[in-house]
Amino acid sequence: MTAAAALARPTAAAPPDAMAATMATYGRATRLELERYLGSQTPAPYLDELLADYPSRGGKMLRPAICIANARAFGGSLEAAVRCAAAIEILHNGLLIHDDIQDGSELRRGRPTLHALHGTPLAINAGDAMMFTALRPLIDALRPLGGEVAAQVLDVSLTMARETAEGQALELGWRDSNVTALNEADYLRMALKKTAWMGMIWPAQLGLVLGSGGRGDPESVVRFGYFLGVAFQIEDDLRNLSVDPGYGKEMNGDLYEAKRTLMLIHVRQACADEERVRLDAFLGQPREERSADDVLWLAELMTRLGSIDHARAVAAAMAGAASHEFSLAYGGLAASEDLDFIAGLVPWIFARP
Amino acid sequence: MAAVWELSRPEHAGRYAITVYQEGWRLGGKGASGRGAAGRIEEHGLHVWLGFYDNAFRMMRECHAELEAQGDGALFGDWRDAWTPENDVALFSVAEHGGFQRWDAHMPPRPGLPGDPLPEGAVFSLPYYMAKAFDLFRALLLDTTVDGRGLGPRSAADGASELADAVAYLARLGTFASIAALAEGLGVLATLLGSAAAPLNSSLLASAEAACARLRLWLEDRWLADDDHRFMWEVADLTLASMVGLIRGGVMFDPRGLDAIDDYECREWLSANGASVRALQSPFLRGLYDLSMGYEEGDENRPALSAGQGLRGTLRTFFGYRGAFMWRMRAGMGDVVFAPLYEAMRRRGVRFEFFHRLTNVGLPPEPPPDGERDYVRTLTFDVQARTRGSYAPLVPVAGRPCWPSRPDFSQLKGGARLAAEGWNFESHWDRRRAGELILAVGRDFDFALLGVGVGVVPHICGEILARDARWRSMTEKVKTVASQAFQVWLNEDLTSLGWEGPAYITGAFAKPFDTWCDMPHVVPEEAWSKRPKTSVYFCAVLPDPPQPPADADIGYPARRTAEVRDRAQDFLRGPIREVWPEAFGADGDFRWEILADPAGDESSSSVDGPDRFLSQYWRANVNPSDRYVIHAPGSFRHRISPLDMTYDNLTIAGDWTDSGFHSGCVEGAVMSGLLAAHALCGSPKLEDIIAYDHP
Amino acid sequence: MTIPKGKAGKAKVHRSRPEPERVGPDRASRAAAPGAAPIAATGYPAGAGEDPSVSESVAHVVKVGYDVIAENIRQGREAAQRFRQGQYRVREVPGDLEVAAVRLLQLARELSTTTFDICERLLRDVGAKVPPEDRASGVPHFRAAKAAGGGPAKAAASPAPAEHPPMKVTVRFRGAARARAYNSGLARPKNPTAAADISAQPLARRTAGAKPITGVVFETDVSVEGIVAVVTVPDGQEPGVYSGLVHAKREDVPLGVLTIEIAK
Repeated sequence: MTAAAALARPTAAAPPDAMAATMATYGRATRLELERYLGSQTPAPYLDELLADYPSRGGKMLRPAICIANARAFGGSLEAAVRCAAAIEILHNGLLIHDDIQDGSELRRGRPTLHALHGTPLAINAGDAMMFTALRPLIDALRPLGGEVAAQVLDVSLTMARETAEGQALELGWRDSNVTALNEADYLRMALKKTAWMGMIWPAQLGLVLGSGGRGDPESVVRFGYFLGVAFQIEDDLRNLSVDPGYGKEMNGDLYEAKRTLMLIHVRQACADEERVRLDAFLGQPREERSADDVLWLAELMTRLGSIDHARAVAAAMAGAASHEFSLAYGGLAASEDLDFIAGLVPWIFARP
Repeated sequence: MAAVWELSRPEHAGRYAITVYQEGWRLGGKGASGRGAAGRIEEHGLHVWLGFYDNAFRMMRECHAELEAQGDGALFGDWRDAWTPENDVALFSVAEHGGFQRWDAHMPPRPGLPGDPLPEGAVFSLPYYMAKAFDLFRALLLDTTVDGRGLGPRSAADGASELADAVAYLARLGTFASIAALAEGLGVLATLLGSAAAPLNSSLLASAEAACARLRLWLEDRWLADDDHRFMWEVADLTLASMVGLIRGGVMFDPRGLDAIDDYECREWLSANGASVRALQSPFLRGLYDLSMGYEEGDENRPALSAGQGLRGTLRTFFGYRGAFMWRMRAGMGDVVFAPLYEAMRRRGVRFEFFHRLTNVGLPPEPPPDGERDYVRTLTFDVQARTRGSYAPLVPVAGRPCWPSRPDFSQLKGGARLAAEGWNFESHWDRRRAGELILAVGRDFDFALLGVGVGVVPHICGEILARDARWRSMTEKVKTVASQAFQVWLNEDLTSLGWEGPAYITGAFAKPFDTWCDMPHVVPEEAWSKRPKTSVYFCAVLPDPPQPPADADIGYPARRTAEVRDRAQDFLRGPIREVWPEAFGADGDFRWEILADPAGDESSSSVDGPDRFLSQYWRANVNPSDRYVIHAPGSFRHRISPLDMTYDNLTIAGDWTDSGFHSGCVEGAVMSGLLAAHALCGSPKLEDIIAYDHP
Repeated sequence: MTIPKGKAGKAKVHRSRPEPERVGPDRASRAAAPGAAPIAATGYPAGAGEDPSVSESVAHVVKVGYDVIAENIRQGREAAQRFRQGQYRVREVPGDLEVAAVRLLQLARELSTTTFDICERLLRDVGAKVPPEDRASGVPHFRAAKAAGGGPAKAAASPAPAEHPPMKVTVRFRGAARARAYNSGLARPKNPTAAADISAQPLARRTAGAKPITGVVFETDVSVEGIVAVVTVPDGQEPGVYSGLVHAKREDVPLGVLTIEIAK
């Protein structure tokens, strides 16, 4: 209400179709750059094909778009931003390969995961290669900006890497040790580290540092990215329970994997003692022993005890917080389509395909 | 000097034996001045003392009082004679269609005098400034709003219980839809922000920000209609942007204070917080940059001032002055400041060794073992000349002791020869010397205080730089600019040349000499047989050459000085026409005969035409020690504090250190000196350095 | 240069300065005063607490959300502080995660060891070779003085315009048609006037047969000097020159005529 009002022409969140168009535009630019960096001069058997696989499966190109829009909103050029965006996307795909291995996932964007296709050792190798390849476009984007900017980028990237690793470790640790007594703060912490940091905060920070030539404060966008990421994660978890979870994921896949979602935390707090006994037993089983009956029972319990509605309300509230933080973090910038895009990320969480 | 002043205090009862080693023949560095032909004052540039220079004024008031107590009050006069208040400023704006628009500002006198003790319980705080700003806006709003009826100030919410009501009331005012609500809201905000007990929380700030947003709209409306007062609206615009920036950036809560935004370029920061393009080009802002010489490498197309210090300086300047907005010195800075300081400190027992140029600060050959600190082992000086007995540096002019513009060669051994050979003791490039002096720690000194300009550090601290990355980055990142100045003495006063008073100091005028000041009050201090009507000082940054001059380039200063002369002549022929139209004759040329020539006091022997300018005074401040330190964005973190403990027996002082006030000025230098004294002896207390803890 | 000489005897070669109580200014003043709540703890989205449509439990989660991020940022600042003081290692495992220590180590190794080494090397590389570019900022330079009166002084060049200079107008077009504006300025309103209170009569073509253009809106844009006229040109608008009077609210004398041309 306040920051945006100070602008002569207030920033307006872009509608979903404009969001899709911007994402497509920035996505295309990023993909071109990405292919340039992933394509090697000398053919490398067992590697090239694997590197090109995940990026070729499409994807929303959300992170690159966030990075580019931020860079431009803070005054940067498209060219440098696209390189940075390519780096983000390559790194993200590399991490996806590792994630899938760690999670034992079988599907990724509607097709078998890389390790399912080629075996774990080759997949790990490809994941490693992608993470290192990501450094190339990043360095190229930073080179003209000098050491100070590079230092800032390294700084925010190291923070992101640590936060992401911690988040991944948290989630796996909870699952492997069957930690059940979690609360909402635990969930939010995990969402911050596992989703928000790499998916929203870091791309925004890279864009900010790049666009402002190192004169902006990367910390200023952390809260916005965080609430955006949390809302995004909750919505994602909700969709997984719906009939069509999207992205080629299995319905109720999260329940089979006993993923610690907000709904799970809520249902465990809200249910009766005997239900909690059954629930904890379910959570204690290895994945392959969890029965379809139990999964259906759990899904129904979540609906009955209002866990779904609660999570939906929390997601909306988090989105509201994100909007508020947007006005604080970006209120001083001149209105632009890129700013509209960033503002539009909030409603887009729920409107996205 | 401030550090020596503190260390030599009678309270220390002579605990410290102090020797000042000074290059050349006079004290003062960038602030030194001298007396030339006809006893005229010749300065490095234009120096004004702003009304908030509390530490500097305090020192000088003590100094004058001390001399007076010794029965020599008449020698230099009371400090109130030495400084006279000045509240009028003129700024220029380049008009869109060529030419200039002038803007006069009169700053109201304020209670107190600079250097007075601060009122009990006074703290410098950003909410206080914001309260002040809201008060000003409210006054502006009521002054300029036709339908401002029934808007008496809401009774102040003094009691703590009413604070909550006031905040709730603000919330109800909501979007400040009407001017009445806005004016009322500003009053409440000012009261709340100014009250120490107020809950300085986000809802209050949100209200403040909403008020700012509404103010900006109001401002836009005004500006559209009211071109006559556009300068005022521009200043209001900048103020508003600053307030918005302080709120949005969370600076109000930041323990770093304004350093939190010191990585930003000042105009960029203002722009990011909503300042309009026209405000960013306003004469007010350009005056700030001109006065701070905030241009990288002296290039007028690369303005660079950090936002934090820029705002700190502006806040102190406009809200922190006491007595008058600025103070003019009665005579040269050397005469008014350094002569009495020299005299008082000499009497306190401080020894002065002139003609000693520091050439090396020596460390032990090996770095210290872990857990121990490095220290200064030797100090090497060029003895530029040997004196016959102790050197008496001051000469009487118009009955007062003054520094001369040239050394007194008759007091130097072989002085006649040195004079004939043109030895220039203040030129970095003239390395001629009579001998060398090496001081050793333990034998000759215990503690060293490095009081040179930052530009000199690379030339004398090679051993430190080789070992110490912080010092290296300080010498790279704490940037300086060269400056240029000239002075003319006129046989006609400015009024008769077509300039309408009362402003004495003008800024943001045409390049290259954007700042100038009418100084008729100094002329009576000089020793003319036929007294000119006035003297006018011009100064500005001087762009550096692409390649720095070689150390052996002995002719460099003379070449740059000649450039300044040419530019000064062009300036008098050109842009001056805008402000002194009557200085031009019927043929359209500058009337060179209005320049007063000290040699031809009786006038008949004087040359005419442009060459008459050769009788005036000009200089290029290109010596490393004369260069002016600027506060570029982010440079604050590379400054080193006099309190820094890296070296056991060395501290530093100067306006280039982390003095708490990072601007090239007397106040920064004095604060730094006080810190250096504290570093050496624990006195004065840090709390007693005024505004050291300013946000 | 001053050199204070101590009078006491010397145990070691040199003497040491007293330890200072602090080495920098304390700029926190009111920021650190008791009662000044950190903004993070109170920065809830406006109305989240009062809005009856938000249930208490959801509001609670939002509050927890703010606590989590505040705590995270605090930890980050601490880490950064330690990092600056050289006591922090990138690969350090945070103590609050002992449960997951083994996995974390493995992941941290994967993500960090080599990556960080490479990063640091490349960073040195980048930092060493490339100087930062000039400030590439959008803020315009100060206006440079135009050569004013190069020739002989004909008259006193006193720059005091009797009339207000015109108000600059930027015309922006919406719609498919190609169009251009003839105006660069209008008179200033006599009274304080919001841009929204400036209006134009429908822009009409001199020759008959074309519908007037009614969609003219005035607004201010701080990024340009003066005001902005936004003209919406309907699809299929006949080509030609259109003009209309511009008025400020409550003023009878028009500020001028807005003239545009629609291309064929």
